[in-house]
Amino acid sequence: MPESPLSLAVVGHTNTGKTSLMRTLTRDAGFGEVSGSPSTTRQVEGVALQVDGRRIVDLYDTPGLEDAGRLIEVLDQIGGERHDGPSRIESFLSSPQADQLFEQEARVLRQLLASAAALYIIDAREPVLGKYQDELAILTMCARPVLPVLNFTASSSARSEQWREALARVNLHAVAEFDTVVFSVEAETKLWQRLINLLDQRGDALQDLIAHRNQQALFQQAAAMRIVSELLIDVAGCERTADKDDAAAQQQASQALQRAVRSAEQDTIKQLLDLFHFTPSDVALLELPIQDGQLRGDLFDQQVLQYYALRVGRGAGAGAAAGAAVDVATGGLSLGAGTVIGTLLGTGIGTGLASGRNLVDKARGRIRLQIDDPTLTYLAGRQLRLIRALQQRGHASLTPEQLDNEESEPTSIWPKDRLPNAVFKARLKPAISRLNNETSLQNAARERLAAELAQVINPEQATNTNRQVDNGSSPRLA
Amino acid sequence: MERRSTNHRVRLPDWLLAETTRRAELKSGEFVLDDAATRAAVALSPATISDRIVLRARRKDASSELQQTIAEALGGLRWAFGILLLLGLLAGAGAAQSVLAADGIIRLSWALMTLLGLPTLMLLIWLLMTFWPRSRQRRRQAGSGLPGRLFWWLSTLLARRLSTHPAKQQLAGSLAEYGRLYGRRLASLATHAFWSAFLLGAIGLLWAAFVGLRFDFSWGTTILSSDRLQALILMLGYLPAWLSGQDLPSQAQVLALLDQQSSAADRSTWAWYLIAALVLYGLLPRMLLMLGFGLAQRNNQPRLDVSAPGYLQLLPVLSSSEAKPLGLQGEPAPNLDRLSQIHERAEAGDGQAVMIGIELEQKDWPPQLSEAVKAQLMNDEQGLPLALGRADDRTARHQLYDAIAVLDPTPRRIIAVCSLLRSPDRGIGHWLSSLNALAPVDLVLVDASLLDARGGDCKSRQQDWAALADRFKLVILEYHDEHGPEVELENGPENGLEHGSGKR
Ligand SMILES: Nc1nc2c(ncn2[C@@H]2O[C@H](COP(=O)(O)OP(=O)(O)OP(=O)(O)O)[C@@H](O)[C@H]2O)c(=O)[nH]1
Ligand SMILES: [Mg+2]
Repeated sequence: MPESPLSLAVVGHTNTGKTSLMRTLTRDAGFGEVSGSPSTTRQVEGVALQVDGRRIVDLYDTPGLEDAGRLIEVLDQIGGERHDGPSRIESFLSSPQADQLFEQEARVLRQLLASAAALYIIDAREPVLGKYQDELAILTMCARPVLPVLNFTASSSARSEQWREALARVNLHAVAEFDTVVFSVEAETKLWQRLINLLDQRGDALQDLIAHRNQQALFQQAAAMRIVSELLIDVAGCERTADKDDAAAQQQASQALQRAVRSAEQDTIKQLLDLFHFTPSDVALLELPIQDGQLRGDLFDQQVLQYYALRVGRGAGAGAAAGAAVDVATGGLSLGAGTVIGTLLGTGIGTGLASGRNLVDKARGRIRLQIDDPTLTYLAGRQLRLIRALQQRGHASLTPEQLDNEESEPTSIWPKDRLPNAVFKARLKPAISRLNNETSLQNAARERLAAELAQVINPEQATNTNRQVDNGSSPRLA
Repeated sequence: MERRSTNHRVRLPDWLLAETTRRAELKSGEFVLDDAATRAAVALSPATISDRIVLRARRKDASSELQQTIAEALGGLRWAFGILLLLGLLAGAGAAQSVLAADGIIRLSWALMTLLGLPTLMLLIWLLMTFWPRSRQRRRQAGSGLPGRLFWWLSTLLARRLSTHPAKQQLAGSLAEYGRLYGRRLASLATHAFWSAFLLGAIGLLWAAFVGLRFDFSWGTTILSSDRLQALILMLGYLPAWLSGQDLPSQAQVLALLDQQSSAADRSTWAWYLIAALVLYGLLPRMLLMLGFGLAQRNNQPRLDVSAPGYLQLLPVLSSSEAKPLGLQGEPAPNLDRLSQIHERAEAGDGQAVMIGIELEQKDWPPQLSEAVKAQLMNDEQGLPLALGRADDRTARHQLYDAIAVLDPTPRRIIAVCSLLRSPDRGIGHWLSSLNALAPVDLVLVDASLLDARGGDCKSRQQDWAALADRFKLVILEYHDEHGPEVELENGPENGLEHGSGKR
């Protein structure tokens, strides 16, 4: 037997973030209208939250309460049964005033009477002013359970304690804290759990919603790691070749390599945004790379690479592994490899090349260019930071996520201080990279490597940016 | 209550269909998301994302052929299983044949060693491989037994070689993936089935031989002492005898067996002994394991990994129904003016200007105003306004209104100090408008720097207040609130009106 959905009215003073809450709970940044000005929402608007197509909760956004002080006086004048709040509200709603001065408030009250409970949204930075207490008094007259929700709790000027005390005095002991801009699944889970406690019914359906949302978050995490791993595997194996003696061709190859990697990164970002239900306007990084013809915050920024070269160079495994790769590529005959690399550096071909790993394709006397370890590390760090930012971004956020070129320690991304095996394998099997010319037929092999890599990258620590650069000579990253 | 949201399990043919479709789409790089199949999947409700993926794969144009091919591949799986069983039977019969010597004397020791020893040894190896501690990933791949692997290899080979479907490569990939993830169970099933068949074949052949031919038994050894063997033989026979209700071979019978060959009277005893040992120690454990893995295989449907590339591209479309719009309710909202009760602005009186504070952040009264604001006030008023009190709640507002209404002479103007931290609302507008009818109300907006520190947008907040002032015919004093040293304002006589910072 399908249960009817639980209907909730989202109410509160104007500009406290009711519509923002709707956006974040529905993961829909396009819901309604959000603005810093008051009286933005003027009409009740509903959304149903579903789990696998089952309607669990109907949420209704309402206009902001603005004149509770006078409304309470009107309600007092209406009189009627002192203890029968709902009937007083009803007679107010049928009075002419409900169509005039209190038209907006009347919409809120009608919606509340039609709902099973109310979420009362509070701007926790505000002092507990008289008008808010008037609002609460009116809401309680509707005889519906009210769950106060403290918004803006991530702000340093939030007065959560003060609010909790004040709410307890009017017998509202269950309070949820939910910042609609700085999102966390835990806070959302708590919000629903408080509601379950308050309602004492419908627990099962809400538990389903909680489970679904938590599972969704886990899924997104796993999927995001997969997407990034695919990128890293593709990039690790990406190569361009050029004639050994043709400097111009080498330069071209280097640029082609950079282009391929950059566009792959853009694709990845697009996929990540899709996954978390965001759009390109949510990330400032997207517009960044090329400004005034100069690369800023770009993957191939010389300074960035120098920094990473220092860092990765110290990791014990990295150097040895690079040597091994050269050996394998030249079939163990690495004589001459050093000379060639030296020559390349001497030609001053440019950013990508100077730091790109150079392998000798001995069969044809050609140079193979691949993306080097520092760049891969940097790329990984940047993607992981993006994932973290998206996970913590409420869909109510209006300002785009600013992803600076923070440095993250390679050690915090890669386990055991070195590039994972999957990356090496990808390096040695360029055929599986989708960035190489032929459309890769080895999807299964790539997928397996990506899945392996996804298991070992550490999504948690990539954000612990370690800013203690040990001496002044290390470049600071803009 | 079932938790369907956590279940991504689907039937094996569906799993293969979805996986093969995913691989084909990935390979072509094309994801058609506006076709009938996708629409049907979106419309499916209630449904998990896996249900939708499967439905979409089923409704795709090329699906029926692919489903046919998958059915064939699964048929191939069954064939491979059948072949394996047949091989087992033949191998068992062959092994049994080899112990039936032409001279009509069965070496019981040798028969037990080949027919029971080999399967038992393999079982021990299997157990070791299965329960040897190792990483999870490795465990998935190993421990399925040789026949199982042979079986799996055979089935993917069949799928690859026999099919003519354009997506056969992807199907083989899907089968291999299934094998990687779930094949261990299936391969174990096949392994145990093989050895069961082996023992059945052996027992069957022995049975037939015992029915139709005459055999004597002996127990040969070159190095073992007969005392030990005697104990061993009795020990092996104990359980079968107890279970089947037969008599345990007697001491004398065993001695005869060990010494030369069993007497003619003991033939059936030893034939039973051999068959019972094979059934009990060989066939039974294998059958039980086969049954167990068979049940596990039946109950364990594969799970779609919807985070895999290829499925991810479908998600934005297929999971869009997590929030379903219910639309706007009621009539469009009326014009703001219809909601406002606006009084005409009064003429300026002759009395000293008064000052009130509205929902200010600071708790002091009179409020700490910056030097700049204070200087501008002094300049305008040739004196300080009378600080009347704060209007933070209803009671205070009534008291302030009443106090101002009885002031005689009427104040030159009412200076309302408002905080930019508050967003202006209709309630404040109405109250200020009612004061405006007593004496002209001018607003001073403070706390710009606090709003700034909070990351708020001062400019747009000022505009909001300007809009309110406009609507309710109030005036905003363009004072510049640079935070200078703070100056106490003179205490007003009605200090008693002050109401703290709101009820708490
Ligand atoms: N930093 C931050 N800003 C928020 C948060 N919640 C809401 N906002 C901002 O607060 C302002 C008001 O948000 P709305 O969602 O429009 O508020 P509302 O309650 O729907 O307002 P009305 O419809 O006008 O009554 C917007 O500028 C939001 O960006 C939050 O948790 N943190
Ligand atoms: Mg709103």
